[in-house]
Amino acid sequence: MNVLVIGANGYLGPHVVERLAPLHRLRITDIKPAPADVRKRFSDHEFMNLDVTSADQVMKACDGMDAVLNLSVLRQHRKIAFKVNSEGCYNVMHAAVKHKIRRVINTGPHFTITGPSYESFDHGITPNVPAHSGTNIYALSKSLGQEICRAFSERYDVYVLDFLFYNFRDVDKFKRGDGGVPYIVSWEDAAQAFERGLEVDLNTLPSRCEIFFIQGNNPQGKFLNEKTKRLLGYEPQRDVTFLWRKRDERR
Amino acid sequence: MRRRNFFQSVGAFFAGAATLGGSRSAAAQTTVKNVLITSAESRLSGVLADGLQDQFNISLTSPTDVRTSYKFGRSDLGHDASTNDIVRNVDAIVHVAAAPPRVKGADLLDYRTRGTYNLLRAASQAGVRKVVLLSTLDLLLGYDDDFEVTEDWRPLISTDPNLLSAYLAEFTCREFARESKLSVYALRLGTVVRLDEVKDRRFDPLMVEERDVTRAVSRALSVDLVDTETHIRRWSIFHIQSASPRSRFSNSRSRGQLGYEPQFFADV
Repeated sequence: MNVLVIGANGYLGPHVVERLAPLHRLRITDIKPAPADVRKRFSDHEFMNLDVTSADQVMKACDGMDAVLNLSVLRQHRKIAFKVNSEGCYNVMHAAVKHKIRRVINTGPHFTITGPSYESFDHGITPNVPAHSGTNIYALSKSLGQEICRAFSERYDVYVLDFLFYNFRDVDKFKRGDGGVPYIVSWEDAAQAFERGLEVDLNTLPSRCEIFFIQGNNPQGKFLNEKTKRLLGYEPQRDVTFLWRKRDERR
Repeated sequence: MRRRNFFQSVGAFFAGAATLGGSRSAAAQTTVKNVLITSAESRLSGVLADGLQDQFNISLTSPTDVRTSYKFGRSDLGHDASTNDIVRNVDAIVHVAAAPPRVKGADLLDYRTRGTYNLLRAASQAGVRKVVLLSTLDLLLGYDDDFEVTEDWRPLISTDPNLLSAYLAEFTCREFARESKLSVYALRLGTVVRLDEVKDRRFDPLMVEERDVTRAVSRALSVDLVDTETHIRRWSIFHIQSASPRSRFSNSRSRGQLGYEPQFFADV
C-alpha cells in the first residue's frame, strides 16, 4: 500500500515509520526536513517536506496514495494550533476525497473526545461518546479537526479512523510503581495500531468515522481499549501494569 | 419560615416557563446592560445595534475600521490585547460571526473557530456573563422538510466551509458553556431579510425579518434561563423564524422560553 505519513518527524512518527517501513511504500513527510540518518535508513522510501496548513502541498502529497496517516500536531500556540489541528484536517480530507483515497488515520489526544468533564468524573470511558473536549486549545482544536473529518466521512466514500492517545512510554526505562496517567501505551504498541489500521477491512467497521483509544492494558478501567481490540485486532504486546504495582518494599 | 419554591425564587417569569427534556426551565430577567456586538461591518450588526440601543449600552467591533456613532473597538479576534480590550466591562456579547467578504474557503474555518475561541476565552476571563451566538438553520436543512425539526435534532454537518464553520463555532461555544461561567444562547436564524427588499418576492419558509432577529436577540439578552434553583443554564439553542405558519422551522421553544414574538410574515 502507498501510505502518506504526515508529521513523521514528531514524537510518534519515527516509531510508526519504523513499524510500517517493511510493510508498505511510505511517503514520509514533515514540515521539517528528515534527519540525514533517517533518510539513509529508509532510503527506499520517499521523503517530502510538507506543511499540513498548505492545501496545495497536501493535495500534491496525496497524489498516488492509498492511505493517509495524519500525525501532525501543534499543541498550544493560539494561532497555529487551529491552523494545524483543525484546518489541517480539512486540507487532508479535501485532498483524500479528490484523490479517491478511502483510508485516513487521524490522530489526537484522548481529550479530543473525552475532556475533563469525562476524565474527572467517570470510569469505563469508551470512545463512542459525544465529544466534550473542553476549552484547552489543544483539545478543542483537535476536536474541531475530528468533526471536520466526520463531516467528510458522512458526505464522501472515505473512512476515518481516529486514533487517540494520552501518554506514551518507553516502558524499558520505567520500573515497578512509577505510576502515571491511567491511559498509557508503549511506543511499540502505539505503532502497532497503525499497522492494524492499515490492514482492517473497511467494510467491517460500523461507520466511516470511528474513534479508537490506543492504550496498553491499563488496569484502572478508566479508559477502555476494548473497541480497538475488537474492531482492529489490536493486542498490546508490552506490559504497562507494572507501573502501578506496589514497589518491593511495600509488598 | 417556609422556603419559597423554585419558581418563586428566580424572580419574574414568563407565563410559558417550559418543560424541556423532562426538566422544568424558567426565565428570570437579567441585569445585562453593556453589550458588545461583533462583525460591525455586517449589515445585521448595524441593524442590531440600532434596534437594541434603547435597552442596552452598545459597543461594536470588527477586524476593519467601521464608521459608526457607537463605541467601537477594532479587533481581528486574535490572541492579543485588542480582544481583551473589547470585552472589558461588557456584560454580554452578541457574536454575529459574519466573516468579512475577503475571508473565503477554508479560511472561514480559521476565522470562525479561532476567532470564536479567542473571543470567548477573553470574555470568560473578563467576567462576561452571556454570549448570544448567531448561527444558522441551514445546519438542519438536510432533514426532510416534513419533519418537525426542533433544537433537539443533531445538525447535519456539511463539508462546505461556510456551513461547516458555522457548526464549528457552535461547537466551540458549547465547550465554553460547559467549562466556564459563560451562558451561551445559540440563535439559529433563518434567511435574514429586510421586508421592503423582499415584498415583491415569493415567500420563502426560511425567511426571517431582520427586526424580528433583533427581537430575538433582545429577548436572549434580557432573560436568564435556569434549570434548577442553583443551576443557571449555560447552553441553549433556539430556532428563530418568522411569524408565518408556513415557516420551515418552529419558534415554539424561543416563544416559550425567551418570550420571542415575531411580527413579520404572519399572514403568509
